[in-house]
Amino acid sequence: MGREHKEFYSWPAKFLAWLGILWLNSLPGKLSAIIFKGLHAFFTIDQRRFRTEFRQIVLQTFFTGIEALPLITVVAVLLGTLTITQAMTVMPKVGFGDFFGNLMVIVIIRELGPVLTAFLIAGRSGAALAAYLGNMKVESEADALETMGIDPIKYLVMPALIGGMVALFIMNAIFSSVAIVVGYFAAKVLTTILHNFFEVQMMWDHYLSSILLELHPMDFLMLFLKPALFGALITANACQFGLSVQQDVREVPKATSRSVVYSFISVVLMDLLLSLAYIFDYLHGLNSVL
Amino acid sequence: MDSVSIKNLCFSFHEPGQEKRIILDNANLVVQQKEALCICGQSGQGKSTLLRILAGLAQPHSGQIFYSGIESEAHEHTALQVALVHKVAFVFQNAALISNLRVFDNVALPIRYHQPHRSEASVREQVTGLLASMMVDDYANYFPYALSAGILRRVAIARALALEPRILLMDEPTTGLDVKNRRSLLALIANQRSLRHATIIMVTHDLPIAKELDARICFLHKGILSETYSYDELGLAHESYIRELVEEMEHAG
Repeated sequence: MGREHKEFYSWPAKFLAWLGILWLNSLPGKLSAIIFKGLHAFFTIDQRRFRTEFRQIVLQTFFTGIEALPLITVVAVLLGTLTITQAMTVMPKVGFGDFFGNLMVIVIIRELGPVLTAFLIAGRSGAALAAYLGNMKVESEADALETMGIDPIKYLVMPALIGGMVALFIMNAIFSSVAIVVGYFAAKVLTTILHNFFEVQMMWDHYLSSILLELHPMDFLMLFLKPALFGALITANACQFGLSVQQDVREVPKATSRSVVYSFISVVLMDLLLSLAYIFDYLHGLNSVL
Repeated sequence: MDSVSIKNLCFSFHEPGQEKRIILDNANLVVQQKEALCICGQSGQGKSTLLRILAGLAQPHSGQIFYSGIESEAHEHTALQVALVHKVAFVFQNAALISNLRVFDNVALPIRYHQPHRSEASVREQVTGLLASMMVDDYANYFPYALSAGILRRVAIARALALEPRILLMDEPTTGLDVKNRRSLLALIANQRSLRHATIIMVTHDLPIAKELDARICFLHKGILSETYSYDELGLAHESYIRELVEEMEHAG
């Protein structure tokens, strides 16, 4: 079958090939390969099959995000309450009693909202996807797809990837909105009940305007970028670990837990990388002032 | 004309810490068009692996594979290519139906995927016909988990036939079935073979299948693939292990 290796490549080409293979054999390489293959499959959908593929993506979005809505809402309510309660005990004392809205932007919209949403989706939907794909491998269903001429990347990975990205965007928006609104009401309740202890006037207009004033163009960019990248990383981890299961059922729980752990790590690392953008943005702003 | 032929095919398993297991040692085989071939042998000899290699699910280490005279090159010998280019379908031993799809949708899946221009009514008509031909049309709305092994095999065969393959590979289609189910499944396979003129290659421990399907038989033993025999020629086989195996199988049967 022509399996002999032909020795006609120069050494720089061989070195580059070696580097490429090294990269593709590493976990980041595998994840990026899955993401690029999935995106390529999405952008090259056969127009005649668009309706079927679109339905698959909607179903996957529903599974990844909407079914996790109750869980995400509960955590958002708790986080909003917690953040504002802690802030109310400290901020007025140091003269920042008017900056609750700003704090919510920094804590909820910029950092904890996207990261916690990603963690919840990774723990719930990412784990379920990895287990589903792992079981498909064990039961030869993934092989069966290939023997029918159906590319598992197009049939399984692409809808999960796009669905994951869309779901994370929607869930992040809901999470942040709920946390901010609940934060306001929690503060309002606290100041009403314990007005002797908290010398803070919570006004919705003031709270909302301080939020809007704190939002930078970078925040609006990150509103799309973070969920998209986190969603892609979570589904890529789930697909990578799920589809790498061989035909041994004992590998499924291992793949599931690895998928969750590596999703957490990937999300935090990506968040760290993206936070550099804020530093550059800040330095750029400082430079303009100077 | 040859439907499938393999030349000097070699394959072995080598797991770390384990001895190298040779599965195929310069194996050669020719299957004519519309022919049925049963691959027999003791358990663990690699019969299913040979079938997986033919389906593109495993890569041989060396040798050549031809489908209808066209060589499947190493870089394109994948299950996707083999299915799409050479029109090879595979029936898994465990049926391997997609667990979250109903029986109807399982059979419709390859049609909807590869023929998106077809109307839903025409897909429905073809799938209903396929399910009826395998006598499982009553189970169209069931999920796979709710069905018995015999029904699942029939659905798997219906799904494999959906794209009208030229070559049908089957891994132990009658294993675990009772006499009645086995007989009816064989009659259906024979019927489909005469209707669709597909080449059938199946792995089996069930020698009488070869007689009922008028199939050739070959044996895989310690990496060596024997020449092919008809059921009546088995007694004349010069390999002693074949005679022993046939005796054992007939005794068990």
